[in-house]
Amino acid sequence: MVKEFVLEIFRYDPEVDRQPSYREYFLELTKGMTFAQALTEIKQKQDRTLTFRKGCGSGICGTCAVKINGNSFLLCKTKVKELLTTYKTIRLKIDPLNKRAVIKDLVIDEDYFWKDIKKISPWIRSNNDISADLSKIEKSSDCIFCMCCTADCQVNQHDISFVGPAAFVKLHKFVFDPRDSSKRIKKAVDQGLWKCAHMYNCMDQCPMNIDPAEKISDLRELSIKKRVSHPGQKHAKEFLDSLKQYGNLDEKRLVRKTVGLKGIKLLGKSLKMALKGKFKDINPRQIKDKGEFRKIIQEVENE
Amino acid sequence: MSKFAFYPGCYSEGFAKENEVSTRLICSKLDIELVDLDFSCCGAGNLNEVNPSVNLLTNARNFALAEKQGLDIVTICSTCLNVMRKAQRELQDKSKFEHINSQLQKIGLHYSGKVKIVHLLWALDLKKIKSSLVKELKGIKVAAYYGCHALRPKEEGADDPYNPTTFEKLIKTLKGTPVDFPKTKCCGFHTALTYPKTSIAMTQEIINEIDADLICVICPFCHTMMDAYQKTNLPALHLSQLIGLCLGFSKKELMIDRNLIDFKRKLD
Repeated sequence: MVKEFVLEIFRYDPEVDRQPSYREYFLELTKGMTFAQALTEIKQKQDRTLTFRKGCGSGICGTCAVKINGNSFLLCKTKVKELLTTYKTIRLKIDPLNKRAVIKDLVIDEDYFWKDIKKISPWIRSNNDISADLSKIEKSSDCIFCMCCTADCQVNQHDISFVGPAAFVKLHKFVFDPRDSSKRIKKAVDQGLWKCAHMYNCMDQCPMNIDPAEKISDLRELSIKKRVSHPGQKHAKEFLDSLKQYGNLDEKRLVRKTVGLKGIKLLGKSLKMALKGKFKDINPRQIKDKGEFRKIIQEVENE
Repeated sequence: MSKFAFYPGCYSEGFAKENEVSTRLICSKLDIELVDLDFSCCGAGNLNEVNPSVNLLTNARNFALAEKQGLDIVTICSTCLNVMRKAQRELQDKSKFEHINSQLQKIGLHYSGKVKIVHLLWALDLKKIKSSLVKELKGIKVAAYYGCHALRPKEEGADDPYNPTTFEKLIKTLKGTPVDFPKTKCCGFHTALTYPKTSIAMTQEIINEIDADLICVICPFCHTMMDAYQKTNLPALHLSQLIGLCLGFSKKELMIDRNLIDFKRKLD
């Protein structure tokens, strides 16, 4: 078993430092040591200037999330030995969740995150019976707003108009709460419901095992049922239409149905691709029992 | 000799045809028998957002077809892999399992839950590749890109999602030099039609971190992003094309001319 390990920690005090840097700390691994314990030891014994957030120490307040080797984790819930084993190393790198929002070292200004949460109007609008069945929203109610999912969502990093997985988990809670009577789904589409790229980082990083991607899928399914028009909805629907017609996807029709003629403009490289023969022979392969298969699909659809 | 039911996926049967063609070539040389079955579309993670039950139905139909032949499924598409594995996990629910099987029964099929789904990357025998090498990637730096779907969700991947190493081992078997870069980040393909700006930015962010002679991908969707939507000029090859070159197949046979960025390096 490794006894010594090194943490390379992001350090930046905007009031003093010209630019961020990394500082190395050498530590001894103790049994069951968490990253919260490791950072506390550094603070107590090696460097009192190191700044990080620490709360309940029990994985429930959502305060202490940071990035370790590029992924978001709660300091208090994550064991040092586990990640040393995963990365087969004695050296790990710790960063703040968002380097653009650093107040000092690992502490960030969370305003941007809470602004996104506020956008989905996180309160019940209702006069309905309080004794309603809430089982459907049990899981989404577990969110501790630790920001791990949103911090690891690449779409959120590139497009600030996408409110992010945590906000959609919160929205899921109100949309599927039988007591809530407000119409939220159209607004969800405006807030970027179809921007999720299905990368599932949020699913892996959620310390509460909520599966934010699944909650986004639930909301998308509802938006399709409610016929909230969006290219993403047309895109998803084509998979069902193609399946029923051929058994496999009609790629040409998928592009046409999703973006229409705009597709040619959007796919700026279309001509180059066409010249390479990419669009040749892309007719869907038809399955032999497509008629019978269609019948059982329709039965399932009508249930 | 290993034998699999071959699931190329809609995209490698059409737009990324070169991936299917190259895979058949390399498998014939590596003693992997690929059996074609009358598979239907997996739904690509979109169908379950339209109708989750139909999504389970089409996947269970495919599983049942493979089981009928006593075969496991090998795929060359990370999204198909991800979707099929998720469907399998959902079908562990007794009521869903029984419901879907009651429908499959009507078309003479039954899903038992036995079939295994694997990506080609994890079906390859490195010793066999080593002994079949005709050319080597000596002196060539390769960015081995896993992307997101092959490794996530974490309990279903065949490699560690935080620190995968199998692809690098394969590159070393081909005598190439794997390089470090954000190899598990998402290329953004699945919103490329609806939000192209974001998707292209996601791809470029990965490309910008690469110092290599080529990027090799295990998913045809990633290939489209890396080959057609990068602003630089880094050649992007399918896994099957790169192995194919090392097994002595020509660029023409491997349809490398269909890639937008040419791979000009000569292999010895």
